[in-house]
Amino acid sequence: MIEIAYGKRSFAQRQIDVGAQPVAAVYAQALIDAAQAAGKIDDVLVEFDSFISDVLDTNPKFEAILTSAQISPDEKNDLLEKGLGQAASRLFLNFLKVVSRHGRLEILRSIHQAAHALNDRLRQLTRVQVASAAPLDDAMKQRLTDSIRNMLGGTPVLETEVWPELVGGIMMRVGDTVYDGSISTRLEHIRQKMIDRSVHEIQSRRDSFGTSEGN
Amino acid sequence: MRFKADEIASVLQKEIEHYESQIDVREVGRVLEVGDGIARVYGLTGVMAGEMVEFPNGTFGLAFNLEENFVGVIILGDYLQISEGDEVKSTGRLLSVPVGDAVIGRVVDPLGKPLDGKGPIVTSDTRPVEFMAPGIAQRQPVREPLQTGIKAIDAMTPIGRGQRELIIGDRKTGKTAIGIDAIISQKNSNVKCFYVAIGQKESTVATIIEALRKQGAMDYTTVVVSGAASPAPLQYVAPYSGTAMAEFFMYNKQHALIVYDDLSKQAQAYRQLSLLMRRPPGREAYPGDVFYAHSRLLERSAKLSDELGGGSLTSLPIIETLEGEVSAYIPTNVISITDGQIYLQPDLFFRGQRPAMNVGISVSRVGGAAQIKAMKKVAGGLRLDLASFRELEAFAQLGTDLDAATQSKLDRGYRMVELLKQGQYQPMDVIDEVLIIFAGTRGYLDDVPRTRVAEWEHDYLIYIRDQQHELRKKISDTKDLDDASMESLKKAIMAFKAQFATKLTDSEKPKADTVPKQPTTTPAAAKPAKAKAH
Repeated sequence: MIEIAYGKRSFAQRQIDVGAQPVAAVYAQALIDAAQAAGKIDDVLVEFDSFISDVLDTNPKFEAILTSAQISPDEKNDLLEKGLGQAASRLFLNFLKVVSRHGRLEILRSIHQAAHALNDRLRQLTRVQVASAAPLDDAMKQRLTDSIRNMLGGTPVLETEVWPELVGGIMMRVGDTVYDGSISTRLEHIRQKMIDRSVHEIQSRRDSFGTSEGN
Repeated sequence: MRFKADEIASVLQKEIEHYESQIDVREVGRVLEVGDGIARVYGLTGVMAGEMVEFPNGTFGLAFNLEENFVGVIILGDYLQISEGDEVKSTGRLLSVPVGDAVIGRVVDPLGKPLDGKGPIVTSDTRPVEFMAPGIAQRQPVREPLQTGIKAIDAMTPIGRGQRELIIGDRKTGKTAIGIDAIISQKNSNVKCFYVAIGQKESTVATIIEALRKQGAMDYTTVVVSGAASPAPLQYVAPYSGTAMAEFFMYNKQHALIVYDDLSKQAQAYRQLSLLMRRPPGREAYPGDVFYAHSRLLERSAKLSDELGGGSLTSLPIIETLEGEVSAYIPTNVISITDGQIYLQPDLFFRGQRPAMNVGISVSRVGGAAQIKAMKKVAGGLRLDLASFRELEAFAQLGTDLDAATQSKLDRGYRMVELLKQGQYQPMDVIDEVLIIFAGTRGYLDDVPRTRVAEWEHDYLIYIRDQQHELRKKISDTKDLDDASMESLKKAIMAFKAQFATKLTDSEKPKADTVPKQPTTTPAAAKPAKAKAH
């Protein structure tokens, strides 16, 4: 069972730059291919995750410099070499330099997302976002993983989150498809049905309500 | 109303029983950006072109552009309530509207929601807004007339059931009036009417609805409104949804008439959408498929074959021109799609000729097939005669001396023009039209002063109705004017003329030398005179 926290990577909060996606996919493919050749896909992805969350997120000024058009690629290269030369792996540093040389550092976050998507496809992982009213226990998660595996194939990766407003039940999202088994949706359906029924009731016995004006 | 406890309980019970087994599966996307009636949505990978999508506040949209990384959605409703990051659901359905008798007499928006405060529209019948037009095998030629109740139109550019006749002209030339009169005229003809108001002032639409109501036309009419304040997507969709409602009657062996007022505004709304969606602009910045937008709409008007019940949908699209410019993009498009056009001109309008129809360039490509026999007989050469009169009139302004033949042709023309004038909201019975045009084209009015023509016409109709009831009934029953009835009609007119002459003052009385004793000149006999005049 693979599980990661929903938190910051929540789909609903992720930044999407549709214009950058096709370009990002190319860089991501290159990175994954290089990492695969070196047999270090997981290491590189962990490094990339950490670069995004520990370096860029914590040093907004650093990101601003990297994405600034006023600073030349050479200077950016120096900055990367000096700043990360010790900490980063050769592969990842080279990747950053390539991206920098092509002036694409501003789509680094899109590349990061694309790399994860590629990795998921490569390893046949199915990302499943699960929202529930109360925290799920491990047995429940295991059951869920098993049933998703049977239903969709691949290896499900659960991203869990607690939404008290669901009242009960769970809501699952795979790609663009939402499987909604929450009580709140069900209640809403019942409410709608009761309204429909009342309207139907009124209309079918309209004569007893007097005037036939209306239609 | 009180709830019935047991009924409610059973609904709840059933829901609870099904609780385990039912899971709501839906495909979703997320709003990337929204504004000006459109939204870009990320996700919705399986959505199909034209599919309805739902926003969290219950507003619907249509998948308009399917692009590599996002879906362009037009929002059919209030887009100000939608914000970035909202979840968008695909519904797997096409946009459809309620149809049938339930919509008759109602004022609705383009989604079929009532706007008249008369309660919900309750019907299980719906039709998709976009629907393929019937094919060749499903149609038959137009042959039944659709009486507009307007003398000039019924006589010279007759409209048949299933025809598309364009009404085109500058602003304030009486385009809407023709459409409304045509609707009012369907009172006893069992034709269901639909008036689609696109991009018009709400006050104008309210006035029109009030006029229809006063004339008793709302009993068989539906008004589809997307006013000037409606978002462009609704204005774009309005004619299609009006057509869907009207089509229902066509496919159910009935007849319907639809007036699109007006398609220039719809084209503008479509241009706005297309530009916002970044579709490439073409001529006058309209998108490349604006022709198709109109052609697929108007092709849905048809006369169905007898196997399909022989129902029909007649449409009267309206196009507003700028400064009489009919060669602009949208007017030429719609002219080429429709089966004829009624061209209205401001100079005629201000000269008092209403409807301000330019006879020379107004045509109906269906022609005599869409006229009753009697009308065909009396109105045969009217269009050509009037057109040649216009020529003569211009010519006569130059010289002073005119020979008698030319003068009499001019006199006839002036009276015909006078006779074809007709007030708003006064559609006429087709038999009355035949009677009047008979009197005019056969020259019985040549000696009536021009200023008294309207009065003559009025009195004449009353006279025939009251005193020649048998004759009128015969024409009305056979819809034909055979030789016998023509003779008796001639006699009746002579009798009426004698009666009317007493009303004229001395100065208005015809001078003996200018008037032929028996004004029986037929259009055929008048032809040589025309040749001479040239």
